[in-house]
Amino acid sequence: MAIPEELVQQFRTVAQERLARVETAWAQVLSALDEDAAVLMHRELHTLKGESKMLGFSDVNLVCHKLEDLLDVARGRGYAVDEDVDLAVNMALRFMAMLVRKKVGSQLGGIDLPGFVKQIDLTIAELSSEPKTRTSGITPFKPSTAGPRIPAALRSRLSLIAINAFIEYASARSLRRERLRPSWHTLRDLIAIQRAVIGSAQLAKHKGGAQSLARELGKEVQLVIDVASVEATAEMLAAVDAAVLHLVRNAVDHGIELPEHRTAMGKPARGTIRITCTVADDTLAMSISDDGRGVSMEEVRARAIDFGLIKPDETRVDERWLEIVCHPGFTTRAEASEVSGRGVGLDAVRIGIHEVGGSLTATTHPGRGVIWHVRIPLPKITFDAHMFRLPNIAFPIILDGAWQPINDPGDGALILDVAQMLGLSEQRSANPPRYFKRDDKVIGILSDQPPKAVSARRLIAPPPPAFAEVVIVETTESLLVHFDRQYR
Amino acid sequence: MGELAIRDLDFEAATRLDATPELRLVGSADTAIVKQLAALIEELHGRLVSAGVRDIVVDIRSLEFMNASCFNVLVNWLGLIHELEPHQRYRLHFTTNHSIPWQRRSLHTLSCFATDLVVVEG
Repeated sequence: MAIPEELVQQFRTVAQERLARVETAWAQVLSALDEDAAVLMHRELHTLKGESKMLGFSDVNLVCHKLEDLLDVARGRGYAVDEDVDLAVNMALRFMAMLVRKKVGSQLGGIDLPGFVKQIDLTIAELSSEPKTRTSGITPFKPSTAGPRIPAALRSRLSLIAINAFIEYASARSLRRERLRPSWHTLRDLIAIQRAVIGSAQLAKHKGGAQSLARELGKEVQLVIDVASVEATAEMLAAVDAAVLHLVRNAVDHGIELPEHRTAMGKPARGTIRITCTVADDTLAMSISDDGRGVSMEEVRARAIDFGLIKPDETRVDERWLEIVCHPGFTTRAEASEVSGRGVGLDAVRIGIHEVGGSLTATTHPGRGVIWHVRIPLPKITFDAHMFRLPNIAFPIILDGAWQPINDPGDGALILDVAQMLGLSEQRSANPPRYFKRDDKVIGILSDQPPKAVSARRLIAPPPPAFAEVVIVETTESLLVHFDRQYR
Repeated sequence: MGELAIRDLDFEAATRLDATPELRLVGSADTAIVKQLAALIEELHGRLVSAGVRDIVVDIRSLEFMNASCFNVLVNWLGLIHELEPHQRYRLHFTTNHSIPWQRRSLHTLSCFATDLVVVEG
C-alpha cells in the first residue's frame, strides 16, 4: 500500500528538524561534554531511524543506523574523539538531509550510498581500535621518569611561562597543535610536580649506611625510623633524603661516642639515632635525634674565630651556634677525614630544606645529644575541585573546591567570562552566571551547565600572583584558575 | 568585479576567474574563518553560474587542515550546484596532496554526495 504523500512530506519536515537538533546536540557534546545533549542526540537518531523505516526511506534508515553505531563507539570513549569523527558525524547528518529531500524510490543519481556507508564503517573501525586514553585531543600526561633537577628559582620562572604555553598549546588545532606539542611536553616534563612518598620505606636505606660508617669508626649505632607515610613532591623527598643522610652521618661521626666512653658515662654502648615524622596543620615535622655528646660550644666558638665568623672577644655562641655550623665550609675538624670535616654537609642540608619552603632548627644538650628539627609545609597536591567545560575553551577549567556554590550572590559578585578572560573569545558569553563563594568573595562564572565535582592533582603550580596552574583531572591536563586573584 | 579572497592568520583563499577558474585554499580552515569561507563560496557560485562555467579547480594541496564546519561549507556548495538546472551545473576538480592524510578520506566522502560533480585528482 502506498504511503500517503502528506505523511511523506510531514516526515521530511520532521526529519530535517531532528537532524538539525542532532547537529546542535553533537556540537554541545563535543564542546562541553553535555550529557543531556548526548541523551537527546541518541534519542532523536533512534526515533529518526524508526520513522524512516516506516515511511520507506530505507537509505536514510541505513545511514542513521551507521551513525548510531559511530556515536555508540564515541560514547564508549566519553566522546573524546578527534576531527575525523567530528567530520564523519557532520557529513552523515548532511548526507541524510540530502536523502530526506530525495523522492522516495527515485534513483540515487550521483549519490554514492554504498561508498558513503563504507567511509563511516572505516571511521568506526579506526575509532574502535584506538586506545581509550585520549581526551579532548590533548595527549594525556604520563609522568616522565626523573629528569634533571633544576633550581627552584628557575623552576618558578619557567612555571609562569608554562601556564601561557599550556593555554596556547591546548587551544591550538591540528597542525599548530602538532607543532606546539614538543615544546609543551618538554617544558612540562622539566618542571612538573612529581609526586613522591616520604616514609619509613624511603628512608630505610640510611640504616645500612649509618651502621657501616659506625663500624669504620669503631662505634655501635642503631638507626630507628618511625615515619608515617606522607604524600609529597619529589623535591621534598630529595631535600629530606639529603637532610637525613648528612645529619645521620654527622651524628655517627661527631655525636655518638665510642662504646667504652658511652659505658663509662652510664650510657648503652650502642648509640641510638632516631628519626620521627608527624604531619600536623599541613606541615611535615621531622626530627633527627641522637643520644651522643651534643654540640660543644667551645669547639664551635674556637673554630668560628678561626674562620673569622666571630670576633675573639665574643665569649658565647649559644644563640648563634646553628647559624655558625651551617655556614658554608665550616667544620670543627682541623683536618678533613674520609667521613667528614669538609664543611659541606649542613650548608647543603639547609639550602635544600629552604628550597622546598621548609626550615631547619636544632637543640642540643651537652652530653645528651642533638635534636634536628625539619619542618616543611606540605603542598596540597591532590584536592577536590569543580570542573567546567566551557564554550570556546578546548580544555577543562577547574575551580578549587574551596569555592562553594551558592544561589543568592548578593551584591558585589564578580562576573567572569573565562573564554574572554583568557583571550579565547572576543564575544561575551550569553550563558547565565553560576555563583560561588569563598571567604568574603563571590564570583559568577558564565556557563550553561553546572560544573562537575572532580579530584584534581597539581601538575605545574607557579607561585602567586600567577593567575592559574596546570592540573590533571583523571588523565586530562586542565587549567585551574585562581579566580580569587581576579579581585583587585 | 571585486577580488574574491580571504587572508587570515592561518588561512588564505584565492580565486582566479579566467578561462580556467580556480579556487585555492591554503593553511588551516577552522571555526575562525567558516563564515568568511561560506560567504566567499556563495559569491563565487554566483559568479561561476553567471559566467556559464562548466569546471572549476579547487586546489587544496596546501590546505593542512579543514574542520567539520568548514567542510560543511563544501557540502553546501554541492547542494547549491545540485539545485541548478542540469545544463548550468559545474564540476569541482579537487587537486589534492597525498601527504596530508585527512584529504584522501574526507574528499572521497564528499564525492559520495555527488559523484557526478566531484572529481578528486591526486
